[in-house]
Amino acid sequence: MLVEAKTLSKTYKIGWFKKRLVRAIEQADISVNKGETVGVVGESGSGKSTLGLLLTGLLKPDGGQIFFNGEDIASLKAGQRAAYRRQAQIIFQHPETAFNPKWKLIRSLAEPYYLHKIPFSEESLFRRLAEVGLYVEHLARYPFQLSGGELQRAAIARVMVLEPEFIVLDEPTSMLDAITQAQIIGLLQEIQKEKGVAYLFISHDLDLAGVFCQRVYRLKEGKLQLT
Amino acid sequence: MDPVALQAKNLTVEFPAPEGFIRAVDGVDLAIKNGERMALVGETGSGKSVLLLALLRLLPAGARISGEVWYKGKDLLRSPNGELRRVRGREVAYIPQGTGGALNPVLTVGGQVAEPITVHLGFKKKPALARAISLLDRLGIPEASRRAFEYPHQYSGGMKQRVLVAMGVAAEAQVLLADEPTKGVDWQRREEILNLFRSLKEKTILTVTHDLWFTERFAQKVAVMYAAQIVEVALQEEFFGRPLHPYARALLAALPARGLIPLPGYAPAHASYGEPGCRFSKRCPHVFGRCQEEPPLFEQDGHRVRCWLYAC
Repeated sequence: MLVEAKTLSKTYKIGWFKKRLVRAIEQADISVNKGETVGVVGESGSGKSTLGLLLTGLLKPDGGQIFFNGEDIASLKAGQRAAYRRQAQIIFQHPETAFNPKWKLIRSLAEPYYLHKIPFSEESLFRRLAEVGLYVEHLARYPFQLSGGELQRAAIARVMVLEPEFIVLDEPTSMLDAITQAQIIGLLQEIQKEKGVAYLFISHDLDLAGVFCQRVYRLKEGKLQLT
Repeated sequence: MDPVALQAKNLTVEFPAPEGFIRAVDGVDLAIKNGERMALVGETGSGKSVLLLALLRLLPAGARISGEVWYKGKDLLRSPNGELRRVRGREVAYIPQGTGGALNPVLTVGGQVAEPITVHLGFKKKPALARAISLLDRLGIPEASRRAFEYPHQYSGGMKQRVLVAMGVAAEAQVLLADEPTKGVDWQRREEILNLFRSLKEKTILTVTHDLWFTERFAQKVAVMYAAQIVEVALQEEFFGRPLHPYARALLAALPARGLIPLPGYAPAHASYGEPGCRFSKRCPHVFGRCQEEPPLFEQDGHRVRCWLYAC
């Protein structure tokens, strides 16, 4: 078991004057094995994205536990936490907001190297680019000069620099057309075959989740159910 | 009555770019009949949204448009501005994408829907607002008489799309041009929007989309655009059952329910459109000698396709 969450809960407080509680995730149990693709489908507002943020450590749960490789991540010390953050990555729905618009692509792609103190070399960056089907010429472009599909590939390349074991894919193809979608899914499958990464695929598309995932959970009003 | 509602003939749109003019729409011939529901599909950057805007001359001033757009015996591209203003919204309405900033954030929803009613139908403010409210109610906005006084940010995505449709039909336009009505919305909203568009009976609707699920359920006719050209036009059953153009076949094969098979490569760059030969030939699995020349649009029993495989 790579990732396991037990009785996970998250509540948001919303409203300025009158505080109101919204239960985004309620008592959710979910597990992802090494090298597996697990789907989570639900409508907008059902708490899908919250689940992704919780499992990658970008949000703190109000209740429940998350185990990564058998360790409770709440008990991790600062140094171990950084290692976990490196191992659990996320790719978002809107690639255009995932890149700094003022940076050329090369700067965005080089960032994980120094953030995580990985020795930087041009060859290793070019190799990552080639893996996702981008070319060196793309590196000199700004995000607005790339298409949605190209940007999503760049986001995948940036994540793969860290060689994570677990990637949350938060609706990575919902803004893309059918052919680009099939290309991105194909690319993700190839990477999985080669590196053995596990995916949590968040989507509202049941058809797509059915083809891409080994197991699919349905999220409804904060509650998870295996279909 | 003329069976053809709106017809584009040899429509070409070019935008200025540092390297010269870039062709976004290249020699498009397309006719939509009265009461017909047509979907124009194609990938991002294929020129489909530009084509939609060009039909009503809604493009920015720098754009160079040539060709003809016939509507009720008039060429809209050569009509004086005043005449065109009477057609836009009153007879042919454009419905923008719901997710973007198509609604004015500082005006109430009811006021925005009432505007075309005052402008085109000559209503006074109060009766126009009453009419707007009844329209919102008919299009499924709950508690329309209260919610008409709310602002766009208080509306959900699906409701905003309803409001945009309400604005489109407010002045009783018969021809609707809808841009990506289902882009980035979830499954349930998609169904909601589909039902909304289906409920607009007797209207002539041309919608631009890359959503084939929506196309299959909504359209009677499908036109496919690739690299600024129309490559296939077919009836809905024909298109989904027996697509002819290799690109159309690849498009359907990429659907999750049909195998999720990706088409390798990318659409050609705009700058390369001038080169001879079929624009799809670099990605085409059936490429052969004749593909060095540019194929015309062939016709086979009403099914039009731009591919040498069907030359006979």
